[in-house]
Amino acid sequence: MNPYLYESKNTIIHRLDPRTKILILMATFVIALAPSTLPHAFAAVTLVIIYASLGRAWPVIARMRNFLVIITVFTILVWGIIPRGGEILWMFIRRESLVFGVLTAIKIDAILLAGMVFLATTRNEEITIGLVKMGAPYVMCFAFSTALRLVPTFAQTGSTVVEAQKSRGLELDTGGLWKRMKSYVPLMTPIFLVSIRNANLMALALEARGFAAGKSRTFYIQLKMRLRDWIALALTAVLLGVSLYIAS
Amino acid sequence: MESEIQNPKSEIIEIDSLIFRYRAASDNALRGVSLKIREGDLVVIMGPNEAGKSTLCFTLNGLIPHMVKGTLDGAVRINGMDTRRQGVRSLFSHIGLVFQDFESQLFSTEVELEVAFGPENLGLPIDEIKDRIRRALELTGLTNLRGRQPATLSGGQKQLLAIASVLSLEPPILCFDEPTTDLDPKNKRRIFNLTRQLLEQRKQTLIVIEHETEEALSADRVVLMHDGRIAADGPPSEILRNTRRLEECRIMPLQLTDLFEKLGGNELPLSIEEAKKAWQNNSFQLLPNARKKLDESDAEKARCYGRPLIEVDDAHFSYGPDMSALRGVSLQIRDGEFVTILGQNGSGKTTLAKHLNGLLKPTRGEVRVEGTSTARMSATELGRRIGYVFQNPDHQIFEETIQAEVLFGPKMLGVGEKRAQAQARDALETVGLWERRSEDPFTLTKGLRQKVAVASVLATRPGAIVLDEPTTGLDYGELRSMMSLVKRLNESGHTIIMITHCIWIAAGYAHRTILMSEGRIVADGPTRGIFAREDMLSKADIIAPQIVRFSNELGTTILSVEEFLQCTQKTINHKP
Repeated sequence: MNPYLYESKNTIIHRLDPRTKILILMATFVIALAPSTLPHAFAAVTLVIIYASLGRAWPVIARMRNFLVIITVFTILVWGIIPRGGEILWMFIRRESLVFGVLTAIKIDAILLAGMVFLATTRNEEITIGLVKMGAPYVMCFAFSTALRLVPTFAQTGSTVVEAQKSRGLELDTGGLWKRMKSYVPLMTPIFLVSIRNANLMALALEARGFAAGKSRTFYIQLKMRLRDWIALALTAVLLGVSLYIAS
Repeated sequence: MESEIQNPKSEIIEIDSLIFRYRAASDNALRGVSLKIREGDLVVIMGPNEAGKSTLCFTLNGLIPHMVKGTLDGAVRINGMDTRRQGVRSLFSHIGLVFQDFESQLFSTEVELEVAFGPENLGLPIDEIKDRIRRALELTGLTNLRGRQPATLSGGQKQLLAIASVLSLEPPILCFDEPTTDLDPKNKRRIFNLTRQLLEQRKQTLIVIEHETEEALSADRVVLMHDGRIAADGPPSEILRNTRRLEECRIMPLQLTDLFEKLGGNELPLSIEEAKKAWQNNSFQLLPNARKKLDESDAEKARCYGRPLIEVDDAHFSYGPDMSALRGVSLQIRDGEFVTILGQNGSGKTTLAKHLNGLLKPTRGEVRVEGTSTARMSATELGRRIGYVFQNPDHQIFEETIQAEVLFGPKMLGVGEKRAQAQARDALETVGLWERRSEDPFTLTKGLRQKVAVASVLATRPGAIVLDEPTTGLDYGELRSMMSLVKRLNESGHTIIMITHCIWIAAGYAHRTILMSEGRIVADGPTRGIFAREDMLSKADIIAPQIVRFSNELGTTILSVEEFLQCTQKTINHKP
């Protein structure tokens, strides 16, 4: 099974230069956070949805759906119970609180979706080289993209440990909150120890293959800004401008 | 050797009375190692765990002392360069290191990029990098997978990729640290073929740490390590015949050599061909009633089996669309059996085993334990009946003392405090760790940690125990101790279901063998019957152990050295 978000496909988004995609991602954050009305927020999230469709990132998003649903529900709940103006809809929940909750949830979802599309269409190494070409130091970029890569590795170790402890009788989903929290101790210790050990070995393996050994490093992936990149950036700039104009 | 005289090779590695102690360790890991290795040689280093083999590897490219801290005495020179002065960053292109754990060496998102990483660091021009990638992938046979994500490869392919990613640096010296430990037999053979190819085509200097004695046969030199020192050093024909020294170093002697030594033969064979000659020259013969004797002892074991414990009925399972892992498996395991499941990686062994204790439930078909479908039993109920020992003990050990670790299972299953204590004590006594119960399990060796894992399963008093590759990473001494424990458990009434890649263990210990291939059972029967048919084994890409193949040539399938000794008649005693 593929534990990573990246899926190798041949779409226009996959082919964009990683620098373009990094800039689009940053612009999307602004576009997603700008709206203060529901229709505007819907428009922003629609843009992200179009972007996701162009990159055929839906299978990846589908894999993360539980995460998205949890974030959405929590955001609406938390903001929904904080009193704001407007008439009371139900119990103590006021209209404006609910609207604000939904608005915030849409904004957060838009940002998460944009991030997922970025990771689904950009290889780790492309992120590294993109950042390097934008002026960041190589070692830092490598550390950043490797951190992204380690998250699913932790998850895999985690699922093995869960299986091992379950077969010794550990029950994770019964009992009160305290009991449940306590039942995670047998999981965390092995996960941390195995992960630390693996990270150590990886550091040695990196060193043995000459990580950051010389001053001049070649990058196997050659980047080139093409016409499509400039068009994508121009389009993004226009959308960013329009969005900020509407919001102001 | 002739080549030695005609063409004296220069010494590419010089190690001079090397002593190393890890920081915070109480003892030296290397205690004065001196070794010279000539260019173009294949040197196989063997020895028990903790002998200092991996430590020695780490000193070769400067990981010790530059990355791994400690106190180093003596000198290591690679191509004349002192590793203490040069550091990993100038040595990595001279000596490539492939670690045992291939998972943590791969960090790229594409096979091609993984192989490119080393040459990129060398700062080579793009075209040269492309050439090197092509050559490395061709040698390892991964060319067709160049666009794949490493995480989606099989274990064997991952190990080949780890090798390819070091090959692309094209270092004059390569060092493999137990490259085949985690691999199935088919992939083991692929790695061995690769090392042979490297020697022939690239005149590569190769240092390989290996547990498989049979593979040391093709080496130029075998170095035995023990206790941080070199215990023996010489051509394989000499070292591998010294079975006493091998046993001292906890290395498995070749089964045929061992057999002839114990029979008192006057020539010790290393291969089946040599054994055939030696057998005739010594006028050894199998007892006329050998086959009957063996069949009787097999029948004796079968008489002890009780009622059906586990029944698998046309079970299908898939991890997702197009990821079918079981395609209609049916079998019945009776109380008291000792079953081993053999097959390559991805053949469905582990998936099947996880069905037996309900970690997985079949998507179609049924698995019944003591007559009840696992679909209708809770994890706790199943856990009481069937214990599961995972491959890596580190995935489950978390307590600060061995005793607490072993108590965890019974407590979780709701056993009362007093009884839990008694069960834990029994379990620890069985595995021989009761005396050390208050020690921290993390400070134990891998072999002992594996025993803690077995004890923690035993403490729940399951009727049957599933063991998933319980001997991976253990040396011969630890392995024998683990297997005699498993054997004792079986003799005291536990049903044993064991997955293993170690074919001689399956042959020597299990009463029944199941061969799996592509999610199906291709053969299932008494171990002797299965190993009598080498053609059937080869369908699952398995080669029978040396001694079994030899016995098949004699016409009677014999599964272990001990059995052979019981069945052999010495017509003329040659022993002086």
